[in-house]
Amino acid sequence: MTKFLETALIIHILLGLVGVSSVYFIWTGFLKKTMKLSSLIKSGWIALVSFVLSWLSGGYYYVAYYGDNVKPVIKAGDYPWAHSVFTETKEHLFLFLPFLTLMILIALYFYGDKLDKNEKLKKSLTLLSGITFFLGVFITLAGVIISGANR
Amino acid sequence: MLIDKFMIKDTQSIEKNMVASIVGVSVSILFLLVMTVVSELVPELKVWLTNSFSHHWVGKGVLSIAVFLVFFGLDRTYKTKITEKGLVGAVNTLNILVIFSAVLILLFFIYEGLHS
Repeated sequence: MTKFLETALIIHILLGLVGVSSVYFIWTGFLKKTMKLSSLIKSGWIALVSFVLSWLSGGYYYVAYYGDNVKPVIKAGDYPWAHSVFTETKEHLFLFLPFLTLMILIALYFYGDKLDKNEKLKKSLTLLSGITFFLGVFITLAGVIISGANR
Repeated sequence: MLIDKFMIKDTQSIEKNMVASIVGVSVSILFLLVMTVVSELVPELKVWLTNSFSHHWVGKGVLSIAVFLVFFGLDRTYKTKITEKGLVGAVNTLNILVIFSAVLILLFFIYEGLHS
């Protein structure tokens, strides 16, 4: 693997973790009685930018290297399901994250100052950020399984 | 803020942007679910995506962004006023759609993995 691809993979992992952590911050922020809106909007931006850049760097690694070099090794190894189940699921579910983060950011930006008075909408958005967080955790763990199967 | 350049923050625009975002994101998620399953079952679609976008995954990503932009843009022209109850219902529908799509994609690839 070239240095560039190695860097792309590291950026993908680190930015993915930054994105998931930022969504966790938003989720727990929603759960508090009084939200600190400006911090949550900043976290929303960090999550969105992180996921988009992680999407691009991971996508480049996946398209340029994974398919020809990693996939055949995993499929021929002891854990072929790591690719057929976890890579396949991860690569498609990852596409959800930027959209969901954008939705949360838009809701925070346009409705954030009204959410403390609208409990039902706040609860729905809390659930949306919780779902986005757990989706991010699943994708992270899938990445760990895929890396393990390649050893 | 960057977002101010694209979206005006008056009361009517707030509702329009919120609804347009929910619709755009919901349709994109649904589109990704359908494309993911159908492209595995219909090889011609996967080949077309690969030929058109260099990789089927890139194709799904690019097309889902296009779907979001089209539905976001179309829905901002929607004139009917939406109630807060309607807004809550729309977010809850998106929540259900995301869980349903994620579980279905996982189960689909478990099934495919067992039968390949």
